[in-house]
Order: sequence, then C-alpha cells, then structure tokens
Amino acid sequence: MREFPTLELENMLSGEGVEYVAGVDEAGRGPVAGPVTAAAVVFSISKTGFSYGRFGGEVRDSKLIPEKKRESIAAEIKERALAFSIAHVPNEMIDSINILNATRLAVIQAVESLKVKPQVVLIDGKFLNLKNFTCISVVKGDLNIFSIAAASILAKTSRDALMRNYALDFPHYSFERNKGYLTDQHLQAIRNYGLSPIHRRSFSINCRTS
Amino acid sequence: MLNKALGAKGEELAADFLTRQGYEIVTRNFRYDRGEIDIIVKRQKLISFCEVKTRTTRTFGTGEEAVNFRKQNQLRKVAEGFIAEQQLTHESFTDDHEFRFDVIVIEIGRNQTNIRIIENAF
Repeated sequence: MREFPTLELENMLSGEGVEYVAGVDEAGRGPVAGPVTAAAVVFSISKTGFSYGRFGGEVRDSKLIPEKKRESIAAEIKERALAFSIAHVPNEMIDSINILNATRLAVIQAVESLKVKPQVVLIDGKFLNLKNFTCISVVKGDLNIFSIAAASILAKTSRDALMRNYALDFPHYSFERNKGYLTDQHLQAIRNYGLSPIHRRSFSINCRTS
Repeated sequence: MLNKALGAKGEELAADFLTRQGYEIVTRNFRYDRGEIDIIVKRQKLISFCEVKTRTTRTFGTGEEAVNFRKQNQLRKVAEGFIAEQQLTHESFTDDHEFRFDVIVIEIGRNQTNIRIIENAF
C-alpha cells in the first residue's frame, strides 16, 4: 500500500486522450444520525506539466487527515478543481431505501450534478459502477487514487459542516463532535432525550416487522 | 440440539424456503473481513442479503430476530465486500441492481416449524 494517493491512473487516462476524469467517494454510511454524503470532483489532468505540487502530497483519504487540516485542503481542492459536486441523502431516505441504496443514490446524484460531464469516473470498489458513465472501479481507491481521495475529503468536510449545523438545532447529542456516530455519550443522550428528527430510525427499531 | 447445529439446520431450511419463493441462491456463508452473511440470493435485478435467525420454541419470544446496530453495520460492510468482489468478476454488475437486507426467522418446534421472512429489515 502506498502512503499517499497518486495521479498515476489519471495521468495514464490523460495519455490516452481522456480529458475529464472524475473521482467519487462518500462519507457517513456508519453513523446513526444525519445524511449519507457523496462528493465528485473533476481535475484538469491534461495540462502538460501541471503539477499538484505540495498540495498533491496533502491530499489523502479523509480519515487520515486531522479535522482542522481537512478544511483547508478541502478549500484548496474546490479552488483547483474544474468542477465538483456534493450530494446529501437524508436520514428518512436511508430508512426507506436502506443504506446501500441510499449511498448509491448519493453517488449518482453527485456525479450527475457535475458541471463538467466526466468521460471516466473513478470509483471505489465497494460501490456499484454507474450505468450511464464509464467507470473504473478501484479497490481501496480512497487510499491510492488522487481524485477519489480528494472526493473523500469534500464529502467528509461537507457532511461534518452539516452535522455541526444540526448540533445547533439539536444540542443534546453533541453532533458537532460525534458527527452522528454512536459514541457512549451519544447513546446516553438518546437514552435521556429520545431520537432527534435527524436520527436514522432503522438502527433503533432493529427490525421493522411490518 | 447444539446451537451451532441448530443454526446450520435453520440455514438449510431458510435456503430451501428462499428457493421455493423463486429466489436463486448466489452464495451461502459469504465471509468478508470479520463478518459473514448467511445467504445471498437474487431475483432478477434484486440482490438480497439474508440473515437467518433460528430458535426453538423453548426460546420463543426472546426477540432473537433483532439485528442490532453493530450487526447491521457489519452486514453492510460484508455486503459491500460482496459487491466489490462481484465487480471484479462481472462487468455487467451496475447500478440498476437493487439491494435489500432480509431477516429470516426460523422457529423449530416439537411438532412444527415456522418460517417467516422480514423483508427490508433495516
């Protein structure tokens, strides 16, 4: 495993004349509250000699970057990208169509909302290829592929910002810290105050018997 | 009956039940990472990940069909592992597939056995 993602795949595609390559990734499949979020980002790879320089070295799977630093890297990704798009699928939808289908919906919405239509979409192996796009599925893409790592940073920072906002509306649950993931403190808050409107019902009901 | 044998018996009954419901068994006891999905079935474009809960009537009503959050998350990860594996081998595996998590409850009694399926359980 490489320590940092590279542009190797993007450069190779560029060499074959593919100009617009999108990376896509998600955040928020595991929490019990809030949306699942996907981001897609397109960089201009074809410009000869274009180097992401030091910035390139900072872009890696969002989970490997401290929260504070993620924000500034996300801002830089947005500035340098040719196009980017972020889609949130809310908790009610997750409950009704399940987390796998909801994640896929977010991924599709993010890719389809890009202002630049990508010729190739790079996508982590755990997601289904998109029917209307040429996809390259990469196992552990978030660790190895620059565009996917960049998308993971956009998805994570955007979702985190949303959860910090929700924390203002529903202050009992410390969403600004746990981002909807089930910490001991979060569980205790649910015991004390019940579920908020942004909690996913499917986790607590265990099984819908209807 | 030992729990393990009971579980195996339940899975056998569930697989048989699903086949008679018109599902095609894709794989059984699919393992990925540290998790396992008991039965994966398909029908047209639907892929269903099935968790089998088997109990005897002596333990009836202990809420064993409950799949807690930790287990849900684990099943989700294993399902993603299955999808990733399929994509490596089947290029036609695209986003027109629909996924579902089902729980199959098997109650083995002295005189009769009950089977029910909780579709789209979580």
